[in-house]
Parts: sequence; C-alpha cells; structure tokens
Amino acid sequence: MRVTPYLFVAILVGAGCQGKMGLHDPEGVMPDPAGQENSETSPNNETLPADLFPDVPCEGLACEPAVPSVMPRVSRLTHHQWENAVRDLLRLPERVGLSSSFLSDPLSTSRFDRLAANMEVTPGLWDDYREAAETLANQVTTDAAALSALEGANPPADNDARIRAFAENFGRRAYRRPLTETEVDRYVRVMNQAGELFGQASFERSAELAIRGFLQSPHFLYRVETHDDPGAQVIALNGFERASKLSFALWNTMPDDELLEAAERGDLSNPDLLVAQVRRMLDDERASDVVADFHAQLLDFKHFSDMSKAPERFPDFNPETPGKMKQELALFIEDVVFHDGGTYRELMTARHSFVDEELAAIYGVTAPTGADFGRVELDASRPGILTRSGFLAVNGTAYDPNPIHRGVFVDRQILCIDLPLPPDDFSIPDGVEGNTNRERIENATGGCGGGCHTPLINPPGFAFENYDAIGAWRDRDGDYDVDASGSLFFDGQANSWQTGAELIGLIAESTDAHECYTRHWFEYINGRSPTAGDEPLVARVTQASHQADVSVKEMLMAMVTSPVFLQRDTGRSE
Amino acid sequence: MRKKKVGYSRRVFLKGAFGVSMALPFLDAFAAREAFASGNDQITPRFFVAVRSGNGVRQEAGSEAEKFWPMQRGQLTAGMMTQTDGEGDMRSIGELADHASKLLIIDGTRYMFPGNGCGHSGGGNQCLTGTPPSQTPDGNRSLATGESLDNRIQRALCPNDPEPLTLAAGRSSSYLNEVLSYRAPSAGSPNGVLRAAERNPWEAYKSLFGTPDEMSSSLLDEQIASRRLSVNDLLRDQLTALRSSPALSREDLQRLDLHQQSIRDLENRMMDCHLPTQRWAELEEADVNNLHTDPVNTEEITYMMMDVIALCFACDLKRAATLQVGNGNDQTVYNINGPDYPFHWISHRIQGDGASGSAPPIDNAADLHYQIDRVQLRLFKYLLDQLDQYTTPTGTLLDDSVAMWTNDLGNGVGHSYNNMPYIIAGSGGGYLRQGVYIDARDTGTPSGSYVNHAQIFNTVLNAVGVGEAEGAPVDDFGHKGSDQFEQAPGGELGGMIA
Repeated sequence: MRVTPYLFVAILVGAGCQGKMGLHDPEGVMPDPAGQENSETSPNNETLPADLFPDVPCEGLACEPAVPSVMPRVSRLTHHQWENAVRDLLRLPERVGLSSSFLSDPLSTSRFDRLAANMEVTPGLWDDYREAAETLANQVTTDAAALSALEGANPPADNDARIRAFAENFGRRAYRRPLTETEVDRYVRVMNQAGELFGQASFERSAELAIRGFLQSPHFLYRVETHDDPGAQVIALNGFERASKLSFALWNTMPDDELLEAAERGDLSNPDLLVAQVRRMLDDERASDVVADFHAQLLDFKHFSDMSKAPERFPDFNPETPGKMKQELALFIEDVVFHDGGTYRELMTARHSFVDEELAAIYGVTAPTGADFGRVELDASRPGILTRSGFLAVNGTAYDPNPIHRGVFVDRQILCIDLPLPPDDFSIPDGVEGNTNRERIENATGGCGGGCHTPLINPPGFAFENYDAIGAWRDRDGDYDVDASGSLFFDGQANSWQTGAELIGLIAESTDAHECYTRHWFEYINGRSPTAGDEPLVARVTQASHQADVSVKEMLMAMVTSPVFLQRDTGRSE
Repeated sequence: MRKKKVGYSRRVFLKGAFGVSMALPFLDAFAAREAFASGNDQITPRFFVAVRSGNGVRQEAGSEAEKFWPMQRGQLTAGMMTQTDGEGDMRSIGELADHASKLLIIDGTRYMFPGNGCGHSGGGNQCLTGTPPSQTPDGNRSLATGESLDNRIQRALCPNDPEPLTLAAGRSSSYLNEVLSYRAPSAGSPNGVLRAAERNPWEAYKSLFGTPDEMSSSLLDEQIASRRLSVNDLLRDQLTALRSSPALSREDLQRLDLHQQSIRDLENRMMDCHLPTQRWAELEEADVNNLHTDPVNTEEITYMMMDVIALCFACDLKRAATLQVGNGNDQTVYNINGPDYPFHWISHRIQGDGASGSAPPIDNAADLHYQIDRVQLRLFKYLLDQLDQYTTPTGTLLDDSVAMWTNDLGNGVGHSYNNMPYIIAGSGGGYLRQGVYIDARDTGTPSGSYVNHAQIFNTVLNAVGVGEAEGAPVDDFGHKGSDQFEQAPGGELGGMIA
C-alpha cells in the first residue's frame, strides 16, 4: 500500500507543535486579515493537498515523506520579477524597462538567477531602486487617470481620510498583505509632509511620496516571510506568504487581487481551494512568463549574443541571427507546454518548430509565408530542443560544431551527470591533427583529459556532429563521412546510438533525464538546490513525468502544493 | 608605522581635470573623514584604486620574447621606459612614461594557490584577495575565500560606509563576469561574497554625486534632499523593525544590514561635486545611447569610469575603488591594428576559446596581445592623468593615492600565475617608493622563488592607513591557512617602502 507522502509528513513534523498563522508584527497590533486568530491552523493539523498522481503507484524514495527545509525569510525579487511586479502594482499596460540599467547580480553557482543568498541590495542597486521609485512615483501621480486607477473608485472626500485610504489600499498590494496600523501611520506621516517637501500640499504630492516609499520598501523588494511560531520546529507559511510565494514562483510577479483575496479568506490553507488557485494560476497567461524564463536560463539565452561565426563559412549569419534563434526556441517551448501535450518528452522529441526565412534555410525547409515566424514540420533528424539551431549554434565554435560544449551541456544540464573538472593547467596541445572535427577533438583530449572526455564528454558531443556550427545538417565533414555514433552510461547502464536523434530518443525515455529536468525546476521554483528532505518530492515528480508522462504544468503543480513549498523548518533544534 | 601629517586648511580647493580650476567648496577633508568616522585626526585622506585587465600580459614565455616589463630594474625614467628593442618595439610599460617618477613597478610575485578548474576564475579569485579559490563552487564559478583589498581598505577607513566603489567597463558575460571585489565570507560560509560591479558610468556618477542640474536653486536642492531624507527615514524605520524579527537567520540579517547601510541621503557635499558640464553631459548621453552595453565602447566607458573614480576621491566620497576592464576571460575586441578577434582568442593564439581543439591559429597573435597590453596601459595612464590634475596643498591627488594596475593572469597561453604584473602609481602620501622598478625576490625571500603577491597588499594596506585605523600594521592579509593550503609568507615587501 502506498502512503501519501504529504499527509504523512504533516503528521510526522507536527508532533507537539502549537501555533497559528499570522504575520510577524513587532508592535503586536497586526490585524488578522481573516479574523482567524483562534483558528486551528497549526502545521500538525494542517491538511495539505493530496498526492496529485493517484494513478501512479509510488516507488522507492518517491514513497517517502518530503520534509520542509530551513529557508531564507527574506528573498529579494529578481530584476525580472521587479519589472513585472511594478507593472502590476502600478497597473501599467507593460513593463517599464527600468531594470535593464539596474546593477546586475553577480553570477552564482546556480544556473538560475534566484539564489536568495546571492541577491543583495548594495549601494548601487539601492540607488537604482531609489531612482526608479522617484521616476515612477512622479509619472503615475502626474497622470490623473493613472493615479485614479491606483486609488480605486469613490475615494473619500476628506483629504486626511483619502490619504489614509491610499496608504492602506495601495500598501496592501505593495506589501502583498495588509499593513499594520503602525505601518499605515508611518506612511501617513510622510504623506502629510508633502506641503513642506514640494512647496505645495496636494493629494497627488502626498501619493507621490507614498509611492516612493512603497517602491523602495523592503516589504516590496523582498518576499518577506517572518511569520513564526516560537514553539514550533516546522510551521506553515501564512496565507499572504503563500500567495506571494505562489505568484512569484508561477507568474514571476505579485499576486493579483483574486489571489490576495483568497489569502485573506484563508483559502490557501484549504487543500481544495489551494489547488484550485494553483490550477487557475497555471492556466493564466502569466504562467508562460515563468516557463519562458526558466527555459531561457536553462538554455543560456544570455550567452547567445556572444556567438560569432566565420563569415566565409556562414555568410548568412548576422547580428540578428542569435535573437531569431532565441525566438524560435521560445515559440517552440511555449507551444509545447501550453498548446500541445506539454510534457518533457515532447520538449525533447517534438519535430515542429517556428522559423522565419533565415532559420528555414538552416533547416532546409520551405519558409513560411509572410515575414514573421511560422510553424513548420521538420524531419526525423530534428527531435526537440537539442536539435534546434539555437542550442547547436551557441555550442559551436566560429567554424565547427563544439562537441565539448555540446557534450558538457548534455551531461550536466540534461542528465545531471556530475563531471569532474579539468586539471587546472590543462591546455589544448598545439597542432592537433585529424581528418575530421571528431578526430581532432579525440586527439586533443585523448591525453591527460581522456579520463573524462573519452567516456563522458565526447560521446554526447559527437552525437551532434551532423549539425554544423549554426545547426545546419551535414553528412560530411570535409571529405569524410560524419560519425555521430557513441555510447554513454546513464540510467545505470551503457546506452549506445548511431545518430543524435537516437541519443535524444534515449534521453526522452531516461529516468535520469526526467529527474534532471525536475531538479532544474525545483531550483528555479524554490531558489535553492534540493536538500535531502526535498528528494522524495523530486523522486515523485520525476516518477510521474517519466512513467505517466504528466505535463510540465502538472509537475509544477505538484511542486508548489508540497510541504517543502508551503511550510518551513524554523531552524530551531527541538 | 608611518604617519603623514599634513596641515590641511579647513577648506580645500582642488584644481580639477580638463584644465578647469575646480573649486569644491564642500570638499573638506576633515569633515569628510569625520563623517565616515575613520579615526585619527590630522591625517591626509589616502585612496586606493585597482584597475584590472584579464588574459595575462605579453611577457617572456616559451618562444615569445619579452614585451611588457621595463628593460632594466632600478630607477625609472621616461627615456629608459620608452626605449625600443631590436624589433623596434617599446615595452608596453612605456605607455606610462609620463608618470615615470611616480611609478613603482614590481615583478617576481605569484599567486600562491592553484586554480580550481578554471584558470581565469582562479586568477580572479586571488587577484585582490590572496586567498585560494573555493573548493565548492569550482570551475568558472569558483569564488575567493576571503575579502579583497578594496573591501578591507574601505571598511577599515570608513566603517560607516563600508562598501567600496566597484566598477566594470566593457563586456559582461554569462560565463565569467565580475572577478575582483569580495566582501568577507558570511557567517558559516568559507567563501567570500562576490560584489557586482556597476557598468554604466552615468549610474555610477549619479549614485555618487547626484544628478547635476545647472538650473537648480539651492531651495530646490534642499527640497530634493529633504524628500529623499524623509523617505529614507521611513525605509530605515522599516528595516529596523524588520531586522528585529527573531525569526530571521544570521544570513537574512546580514543581507538586511547591507541593505540598510546602502541607504544614502543626499548631501550638499555630494551635490556640489561635479565634473565640468561638458563631461557629465557626455556621461549622460552615453547612458541614453546605452554605450556601456556594447563592448565596442569599452575604452570610452573606461575613461568615463576613471573620471568618476578621480572625482570620487577628490571629494573624499570613497577611499577604495576597483575597475575591471573586460569580462573574466576578456572577450572584448580591442581597437588595435589587426583582425577583429576577441582578446581571449588572441591570448590563446587560436581562433577559439581554448577548449575548441580544432580552431585555426591566429597569425601574429603574440604581437596582437602586445598591442592590447599597450591599450590597457594607455587606459591606466588616463586615470593617472586625472588623479594627477587634482592639486592639493602638498602635491596632487595621485600622490595621496595608491593606484594599482594588475592582471589576473601572468600570461595568457599558459594561464600562468607566475610573475604577476603589478604597477603602482602614487605613494600613499609618501609611504611608497617612487620612480623605481623592483624585483620582489630581491627583498626578503630565498633567491629565485616567487614572492607571495599578498605581501604587496600588506604594504599597500599600511600605505593607505589601514594599519593606523586598525591600531597595528597589517602583515597577514590573505589566506590564513587551512587543511588544504598553508598560510603563505606574510609581512610587507620592504623594497616597496620609501
């Protein structure tokens, strides 16, 4: 008999715990938004959503309970999330684009841009936030319609009441929770300084000061999760914390009004209502932002602009080409995840794509009519994202395919093989000879690097030797036939192939590959790598993807309704 | 420990760059120092800036002849620095001949620790820290395991403003980006915290000096400053309340502490420091046109950053700064007399990033590398020119500074950490020797063995006053010993001291 992991953990971790959900409130005057001060919502009693894959019998680790981790209490928004949140908070039609000049976060160990420990507010970034806040506050308060959209219908006639209402209502959306009385009072005090600070007292200038403050507030710039229960080891995130966590995980932006209201009603503590909200969010077009951003980072779109190709070999390659390659991949991924079956297998194997005339030429297909991108069907040599021009070209040199980069990508990002590092003093020997690119790489890496290259890196790289440095098909490398055959150890066994498409077919059926994809999503959604307590969740989602072909959306749903997402370890030793 | 006591007047006027005499009425060295609570009275503010290039220099290696270092050690003169060799080439360092009398050139040092999977990253890790690369993460994500020189200087001299000025010019990359400036490891972590660099000169400028506005009145300035102060006070209250939450971990608190320290009010002292109108307008225009995002503008952006650094020091707004030119394994295409290859390719002498195996060689690559070294040093000369044009009662701002040029590799082809290039200009107010090219191996280590480069840093730290601020001379900057690596020899480098 299978134990439902989530219910099991709720019983396990809650023993002896007491507590209630509520925001941390240093002044002790935080109103309970849903009047639930006395409700019994401690984690030990909390019923979390049931396992989402009842038709898939669990196996091994997937049957174990997932255990919540100690997690950061303050997680700064990524610049991308800041853009989306500002657009939605200020009810603007589109992103303002100001974050493009923000101080970038330094590169981190994660492939994704959201490791909480890596995201700080330094003087440079603080100044960027400040300047953006001043610009935007002025912009929306000098536009009567824009300000009215923020204020809502029928604001109080009395100026003092109007100021207070603005601080409460706008503040609730900026903080993504209701403000305490003390917090509202503090904003009102600043707003009442408008006359002195602008030389004219008006509601607009008061609102301008308030918006400056809200946009720079730590409660806007971070997801703040200070809800606590001093007696408990594991606690549930409260409703507003869940709303924010869900919306930034699934939309890369703040909660909408409906989600905030659901949090206020306590719906996010009810398993059925929580699942309904998550389902709504994944069906919303904002979810496509997250799917696009995740794959853009996984496939290293930022690196695409570094491509350079030798003009004598690739005369049609031009500065616009990398952008088109990105667009092709983005359209393909969006189509598979949201309009097709939406599974990992399809991402790896679907043979259609979206191209313009230039990319059509790379694939040797007839260009779609019209100037823009259109759908085309590709042949059996073009399964999924690994045979699209973008992946192949960014992992190509100026002249040739780059089997080392392609191989390392397959190992690390597709199969999560932990490759040892090259020796520090390693350099390619001078004057490497060979009849083909494959031979030259074999000769170059056969020496001291051969221990890794020969069994691990080169084979999955050579599998793509039929695709040249921009991804076009080739049967011959110079005067010689291309040899794409190889063998690689994964899924606990040696796997052999003759062509790149065959390797991809093996990957699409590989447990290791499904698990690797799941791990990437876990890291993106949670802003951290999986810990031991998260492994049962990773195993369960992997199993569902691999055995039952569940969609990417269902994988995400399982992740955000699990205890590792909805609860936290307080870090206290019991 | 030496102290330089200079009788500054209460109000210091500096003669600024661009041939314009610039009065900076709020540049009061004492007031600034007191504002940052650095400690000792009557000490001339001293400044540190490091400019870093990547990919190594064209120094003697294998069959390639020396093109970088001066032809002989000892006293430096403009004449000897600009001599040409048998091939008619001046050594790269000759680009700095105008400042011969203020230079201290040091060879014979090396990084003491191996890289951990990526020579460039491992070099960047050690460049200003003297610490080994992290065990985890590794490869091109490896981190330093201690703080960097600029961090130590800024936090020691300005405890209330511990963040140094961290700038980068040119290319950014998703492979290896910033490498230079590190905060000390957070509690519980063995690794330093890599600091992001500002890449837009106009953003750096506005952040330091505010937005210049020729039309503004003092009343308007006051209102702008008051508005910001009012909001900043609100934010400080919020951060204080948030930080009081017992739920926060040490890591959470550290992040919020940094956030709180980053909040700055607009002070007259900042607002009255500005470059001449024409120049700040050029920075603003560069921002409008996003010049900093296109690597083709690397050199122009570098000049702008250097103007910002010099003015920042002139107004005593920061005591330490770094400027990284190019990304970690610099892939900039420099403007030289040759084909348009990325510098990284040139440094490997092949048309590829070194791991390509089959890439064709680049003809004359060693000469192209030499030309790029000269570009890099011409850039550094511009910084020295700017620092030297701000005059003080005792000399110039350059005299009160330690301006260092370095590279995080010794040479490109071998990714060597031996014979690292260190060029220092300015004496730190008289502490350092000037006008001389020395071999670090001549000053206190067994003959023939390269010297720990962090000994240079000990000397620099004492030159700019960190020893005084901390109460004892610094002699052990860098790695303190671990299971993996012993502590490297410490102490100052005697040959550097005047």
